[in-house]
Amino acid sequence: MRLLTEFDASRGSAVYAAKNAVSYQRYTRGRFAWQIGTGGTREQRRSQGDFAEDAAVIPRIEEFITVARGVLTSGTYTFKGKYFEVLNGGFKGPLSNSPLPRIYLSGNTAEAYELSAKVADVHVFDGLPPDQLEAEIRKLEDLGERRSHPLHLGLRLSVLARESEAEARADAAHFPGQPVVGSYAQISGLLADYVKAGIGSFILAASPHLEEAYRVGEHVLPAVRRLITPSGRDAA
Amino acid sequence: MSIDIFWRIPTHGEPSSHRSRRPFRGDWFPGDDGQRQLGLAGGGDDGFSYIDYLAEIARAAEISGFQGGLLPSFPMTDEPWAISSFLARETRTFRFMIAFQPGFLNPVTAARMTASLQRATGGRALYNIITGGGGPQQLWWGDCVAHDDRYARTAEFLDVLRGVWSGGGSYTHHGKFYRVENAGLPEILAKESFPEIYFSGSSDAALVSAAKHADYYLSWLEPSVQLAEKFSRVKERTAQLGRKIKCAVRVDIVARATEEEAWREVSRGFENADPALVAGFKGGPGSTGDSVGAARQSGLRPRTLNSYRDLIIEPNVWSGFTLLRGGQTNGIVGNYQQVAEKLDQLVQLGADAFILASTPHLEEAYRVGEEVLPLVRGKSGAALRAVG
Repeated sequence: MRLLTEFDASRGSAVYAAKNAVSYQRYTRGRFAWQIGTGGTREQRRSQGDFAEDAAVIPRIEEFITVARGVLTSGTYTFKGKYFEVLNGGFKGPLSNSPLPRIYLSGNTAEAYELSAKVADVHVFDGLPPDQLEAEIRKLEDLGERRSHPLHLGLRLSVLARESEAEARADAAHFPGQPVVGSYAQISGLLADYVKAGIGSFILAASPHLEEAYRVGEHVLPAVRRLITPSGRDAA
Repeated sequence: MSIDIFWRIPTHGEPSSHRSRRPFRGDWFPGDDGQRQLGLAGGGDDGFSYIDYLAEIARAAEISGFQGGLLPSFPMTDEPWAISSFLARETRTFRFMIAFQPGFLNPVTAARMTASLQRATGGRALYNIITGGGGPQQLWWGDCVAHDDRYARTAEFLDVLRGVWSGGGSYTHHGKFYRVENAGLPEILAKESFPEIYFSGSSDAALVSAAKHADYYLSWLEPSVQLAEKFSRVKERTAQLGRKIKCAVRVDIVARATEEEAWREVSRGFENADPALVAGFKGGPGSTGDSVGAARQSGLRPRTLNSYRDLIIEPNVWSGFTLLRGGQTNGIVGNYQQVAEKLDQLVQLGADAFILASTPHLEEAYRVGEEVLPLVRGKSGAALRAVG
C-alpha cells in the first residue's frame, strides 16, 4: 500500500522535508508520496504560522519541490531562491539516490495547472462530472506537451455505494457531505467513465472508512476493473 | 530519586566494534557513497533494511532497562520522526527522544507532528532540542540565522509551540521569527501531554534559553570541575526565573569485565583510526562551526599524540572517541564497577539523567543493561537494582 501524505510548503525547511521522505522511502521501499497543498485561505494559512501573500503560495510550492529534488539527487546542491536557500547541500551515502516522493498537486486555477504541468507527477482533480472534467483535462494536457515525462491524472471522490440505488439514497440521508450516491453498478460505471476520460488514480473515501474500504474493494473495484479491461476479464 | 537512563539509536550506521571502522552494519560505508550492503547473506538484497537492525537495538535497550533512545539529527542520519514512527510499533514502553532544530519545521507543524506521535505511542515522544553547531552545516540544512539569533529563535519557537499546543485554539503571536494568528491543535491532539525537553548548548545564549524552557539541560561529558561549574550555572539561572531544571549527560562508554579489556578495546580502535584524523586531532579547534560545546572539548586536546594514553584526561575518561566515530569526543572507559562509579560521580555533580552509547549498540545495550546499570547507585546511595 502506498502512503500519500498531505502537507503545505509552509511546513518548514524543504531540506528537512526531503530528509524525512528519504527515511520513509528507504524503509517502505519507495511507497511514500507527497500531496502538497496551498494551505487554504489567507486566514487558514495564518493559523498555520504561514504569512505568505496569496501570490507567493504557488511559486513557493515550486521552489519547495525544486529544492527537495536538488538535495535528493545531488550530493553538492546549492540554491538561493526567494523562499528557500541551501549551500553545499544534498544527501550522501545511503541517504543519496532515494527516489523523490511521487508528487501529487491539486487546484483548478490556471496557475495551479501551470504548476502541475511543470512539476507534478499526478494532478488530482476534485469531483466534477466526467463530461465537465474532460474540458479541464484538455486545458492541462495542452500545458503538458512541453513535459519530458507524462503527467498522470487523479481524482478525489467521496462515494456512497450500496447494493441498490434506493438503499444508497436512503443511507445518504444520514451522512453529511456530498458523496456520489448510487448502486454498485452505477458507481462502478461512473468510475469507469472517469477512467475513459483519462483518470488513472483515484483517491476514494467513504465513511466509516474501515467497513467501506471492504465494501468498495469487494463490490465496486472488481466491477470497475472488468469494465476497463478490453477483454472484459477481471484484471485484478 | 531515580535516574533516567536512555540509550542512543545509531541512525547513521555503525561498525561492528570500537576496534575498527569496518565492516559497517547496514548500508553505511563512510566515504564510499557508491557501496551498499543490504545484508550479510551474499551482499544481495535479502529484504532486510537498516530499520530492522535499529528495531533490534530499540528492543534490546527496552528489554535491558533503558527508558528510551536518542534519535540524533545530523546531515548523515536517518530522520528521527520517521524512525520513531517505525520503531513505535516494535516497542512497548521505549521513549523516543527526537533531536530537533527549530529551523527544521515551523512550530505549528512541529506541534501537530509531535502531538500525533504522542497520541499514537501513548505519550512516548520527547525532544532533544539542539540549536545547531553553525557554520557551513547550518546552510546545509538551508538555515542561515546567526548563532546568538538562533538561540533567540529557539526560545521563541518553544514559546509558540507551547502556545499552539495549550492556547485553546486561539493562540496569536507576532514575534521576531514567527507569526501565527488563531492557531491551535485539534482538540483530540491538544489533550496529549507536551513533550519533555532535553536542551543542548554550551554558550551563554544557550544557557539563557535552557533556563527558560528546558526540563533537562543536556551536556556532553566534560572534565568534572568544568561540568560541575556548567551545571551549577544553569541551575542558578533557572532558579532566578523561579523554575527548576534537571541536568543530563550524553556519553559514550566502553565497559568490560576488566579494566585491561576495556582499554585494549580503545587501544585497538586508536591503532586502527584514520591516520589523517589522528594527525589533525592534536590541539586547537577542530570545527569550522561556531559550536561552543565542540570548542570546549577540542580545547582539551594534547599537543603530542603517540599513544591512546595521551588522551586519558581523568581516571577512566578518554578524550579520543571522535577518532573511532563521529560525535562528542570524551567517554568513559573501565570495568563495570568503574563505569558505574563514574556515572555515580556525575550524579553527585548534578546529573539526573544519562544518554549512554557504545558500539555496537545492539550487543552493548544488553551488556550495559545487564552489567553496568545494576551497579549504578544513583541519588539514593542504594543500587538501582539488585545485581545478578
